[in-house]
Parts: sequence; structure tokens; C-alpha cells
Amino acid sequence: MVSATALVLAGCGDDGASDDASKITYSLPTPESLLFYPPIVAEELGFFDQEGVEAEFVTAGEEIPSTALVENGDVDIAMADIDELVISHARGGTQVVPFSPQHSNTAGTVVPEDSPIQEFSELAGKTVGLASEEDTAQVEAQLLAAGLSGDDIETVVVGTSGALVKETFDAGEIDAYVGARSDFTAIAATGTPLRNITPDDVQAIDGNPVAVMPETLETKREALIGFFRAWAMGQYVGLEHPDVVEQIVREQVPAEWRNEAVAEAALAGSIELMQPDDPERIGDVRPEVWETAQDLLSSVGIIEETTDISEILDDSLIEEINDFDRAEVDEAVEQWQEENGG
Amino acid sequence: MASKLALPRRIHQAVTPPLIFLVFLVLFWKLALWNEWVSETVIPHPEDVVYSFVDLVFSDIIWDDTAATLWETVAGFVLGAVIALSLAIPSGLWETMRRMLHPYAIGLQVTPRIAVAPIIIAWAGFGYSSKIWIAAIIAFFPIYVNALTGILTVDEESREMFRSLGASRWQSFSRLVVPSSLPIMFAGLKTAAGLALVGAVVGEFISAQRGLGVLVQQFSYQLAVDDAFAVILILMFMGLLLFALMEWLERVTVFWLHDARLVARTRRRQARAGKRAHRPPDPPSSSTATPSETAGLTR
Repeated sequence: MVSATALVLAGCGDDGASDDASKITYSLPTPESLLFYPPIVAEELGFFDQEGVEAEFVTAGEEIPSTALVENGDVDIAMADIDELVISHARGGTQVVPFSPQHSNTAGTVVPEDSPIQEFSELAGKTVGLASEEDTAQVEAQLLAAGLSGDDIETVVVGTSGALVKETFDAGEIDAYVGARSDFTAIAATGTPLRNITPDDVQAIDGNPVAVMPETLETKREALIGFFRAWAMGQYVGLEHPDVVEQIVREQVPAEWRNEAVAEAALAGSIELMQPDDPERIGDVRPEVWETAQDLLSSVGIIEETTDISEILDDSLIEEINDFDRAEVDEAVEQWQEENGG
Repeated sequence: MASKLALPRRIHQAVTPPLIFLVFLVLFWKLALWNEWVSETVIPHPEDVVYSFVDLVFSDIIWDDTAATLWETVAGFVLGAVIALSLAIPSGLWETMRRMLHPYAIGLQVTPRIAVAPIIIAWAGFGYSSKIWIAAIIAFFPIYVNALTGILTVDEESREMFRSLGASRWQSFSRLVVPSSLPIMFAGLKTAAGLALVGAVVGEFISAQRGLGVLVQQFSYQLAVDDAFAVILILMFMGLLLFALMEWLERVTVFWLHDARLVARTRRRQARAGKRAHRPPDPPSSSTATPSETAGLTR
């Protein structure tokens, strides 16, 4: 009876990545969210169907390393942090990055808008709040980029609760906060204006590049190109038709619109994060940015040996991914608007 | 007439004291906010929570997530109960098995779930199964330990009486051990019902696409703390419902502990006995009933 019960109940779960060549299982750090609007838009406007791809979304959460998910075959592709990928490769990992939609860092450092601190280098002698102990490396890297060291500041972990961080800022208990830009958006939208003082070279580091195993890239190449192309089309819609994206995510993720001000600011921030350096190369992988990230990780001792970045990055798919007619996407958007009273 | 008056009085006795306490709680809550002992950014006003609760209940936002959490909780509770009882009963009857399993059961209990949950999710997958397993693991220990305690604390004199009357092991188990241990077992089941809900939400915090835990995180991220508290209120009602369900099940199963049910059951037995008394008598038996037959242990 125990075995039967366990089998029945355990069978309710997903089976992980599929052997079906046209099915792509992908994971994101959050449940379905406007923060990652491109697949929501791609699904709604039929871009995945158009590309002949069955896209299955799973939420891995941030506690589970994305590199482990792709390596174990739990998913075909996963969004991972640059430092996670560099560290994985330094320890023998073989994940590759063929697509990186966010050409800006999803983390950073902020101060209250009326703070006398104008640049990161002025944090010497100040108290910096951290989202978690793991952000210590992020802080040290930024300090190094600004010519400071860890001994120049005092850090305190305040967590990721937007309400608590706002409270801590308002009480003057911290002078700056290091965390996710999505948290800054929520805090700023609810009455505590903030200013981003992240050093420029740290700010330019990609947020959430997409990792895949080389074997999967080989066996599911066409499906992956189709998936990324559909994503790129969804991303393009956000760049050119943000009002349509808002209409779609309001309907698909209504729980994120309980606070309108925060939702609008978060969506605007998400679209800004997905502004590509070159509009014709959405998702491009940029070796120079990865070199900077690796240098910072190495300088603070997180990795002892550096890796050849060309072993991680694979830009062979970028041209095919961006080989779609932007005018056709605009037409699809207009048709959707007519059908949905937009 | 007496029973008609008794019901409203029972309802009054059950509902009024908690309502009075609620009034004091809300007053203290408002006092804390008025005096800025706590910021309304972190703790919303109680009336805002109520408005959000009503708004969410009448919206389309929460029902899929509520169903997801409820399914994970119930399935996790059932799985945890099946495993716990399957291990507790043999452990109670055989000392060797008890010595083998007991340290591991305690080890499972003291291991922080938040540390184990990502491992379970990585193993069981991203769907409902991982949350169900987390709920089952958290629900396991109170059921196991209470069932084991119930079995081990059966009255020795009663055991001796059953042995002297020639009862088989199965008869001793089904007619003595199980009825004796049910009250304590149900105490564990009632505790575990709430813990299964906690486990489901813990799993949702770590990795889920649906569920009230996901909603709490989404609302907290937006600083919509009144909505987040409203979802917590829903979770609380869900927990109370599950506890009430277990209490009802206990009243039905362990009826002899509850006077009204015992009286009702006695009356039904008397009615059946009365019907049998009006039937023609059976032919007299050739042998005298043995003490075992008298005890109902043999036919």
C-alpha cells in the first residue's frame, strides 16, 4: 500500500527534459512573471507554434543551481548567473551559453535619491545592506572596480523583503543596498526613490544568460533555434510595442498587478534590461563582458584559475535566432490588438 | 425543546470566546500601528487585510493557487500518514524494528526542512510531487511518534486478560491495541494535518508555479503586504478546516470518547437488540459458551 501510494502521488510530477526533439523544457528563476515577459508574449502571440516548438516552463527557484539542472538533464536550458557559469567551468563544468537576452546586470547597488553619495567609491566608511550573504562577493567585486576593499565598508544582511529594505532605508540604518534590480523597482515605486550607483563595468555584465549542455545543443539544435527565435520575437515586441506587452502580462499574470505602480515600473525595468546592444542581434553573447566578470571573480578569490571564455560562449546561433521578419512580428501584434481590443 | 436550545448555546460557547480574543488582538494590532511600534509598510492595517481578503476571494486570482496548495497538502498528509503508520505499527509490535527505525525517524525530524527541500525538488521534479513529498516528510514525525506511543502504552492488564482468554495476535491487535491507541494516534494526525500545509507552502517558496506560497511571494515583492496577509489568512482558514476535518474524523472513529456519540451508538445497539428479541428464538446450542465466546473473541 505504501509503494502504491507513493507511486501514485509521486507520478504527479514532471519528468524533466524530454527526448522529443521539438520539445524544449526551460527554467527561469521565478514563476511566470512580467520580469521575464518574452516567453509569455511568444506563447500568447503564437511564436512558439510558428517555430514548431513545444515550450514547457518549469520554475527552479534560486536555491537550486541552474548549472546543475541542465547538467542533470532536468531541463534543456536554464537561466543562470554569469558567476555561477564561470565557477562551474572552473570546476570542470561544460555548459555553454548560446543566448543571453539581458545585456545589463540584474543586480546592483542603490542609495536613496537624496543621499549625498553619488558614486560607488564614496561608500567608504558607510553601511551597506545585502540581500543575502551570497552578495558579499558581488559587493567585493564592485568595491574592487571602484578602487576600494571589503574593509572600507560595513555590511549587514537585510534580506530581500522589499518592505523591510524600505523600512531599513527610511530608518537610516543602511546607506546603500546591494540586491536585485526588481527589488529596487518595488521600493522606488512605493515611495522611496532610489539612485543606482553600480560601477559601469559591473552594470554592463549580462544578467541571466541561458545555459545548455553541448550534447543538447547538438541533438536539439533546430528546436533550440526555434525556441530562442520565438523568445527574441517576444523580446522585440517589448522593445517596439511595450503597451501590448503590458496588456498581455496583465491578463496572464494578474497577481503581479495588485500594486499598479510597482508592476508598471517592474515591466519598464524588465524591458530596459532586455535592450540589446545591437537590435539586430538580440540575445548576443559578448565575450568582453564575460572577461570583465571573470576578472572580478578572480580578483576577489572566488575562482583561483580563469577559464577560456570562448569555451563557454557560443554565438553560432545568433544570426539564425535573429533571422525573423520584424515587420511580420509588427503585423502579428496589430492583429492581436484588433482581436483583443487593444 | 432542550436539544433545540442546546445547539444555539453550544454555538455561542464555541464562537464567542475566540471572537472576544480576536477583538483584543485587533485592538492591539491597531495600537501598534497608531503608536508606530511597527511600520504599516511591514504590517498592514487589519481593515486593509479584510478588504484584500474579500477582494481576492471574489477575484479569479487565488482559486487555482488555493486548489494547488490544498492538493499538495492533502496528498502530502495522506502519503506521510501511510508511511508513518506503516512504520510505527511494526515498530510498536517488534522491538528490533523499533530500535532500527527510531534514530532515523528522529534524525528526519531534526533536519531543517529548508535545507532538504531543494534536494527533494531536484530529485522529485518541479511539479506537485516535490511539494507533496516535502509535506509528507514534515507530517511524518508526529503521526509516527504518536502511533508508536499509542501502541506501546496499551494497558498491560488488558493485554494479560486477552492472553488469558486465548486471543490470537490478530485479535489482540484489532480488538485491543488499535482501539486503545487510536486517541493518541489521532492527536498526531491532527497535528500533522497543519504541518502538511506548512510543508506544502515551504516547497512553494522554493520552487513552484502555482500555490498560495507563490502568491505570498508575488504580493510581498510588490509591497502589497495587505494582499500577502490576506493570503496568509486564507492559509490559516485552510489549516483550521483541515484540523476540524480531523477532529470530526476522530469523533466518528473514536466515538467512545465522546458522550453524545457514545449515547447515540448505544441507542442504535439497543434498537438492534430489541429487534432481535422479537424474532423467534434459535434452537438451543449443544455446548455451553466458553469464556472466549463470551468475550466475543471466538464464534
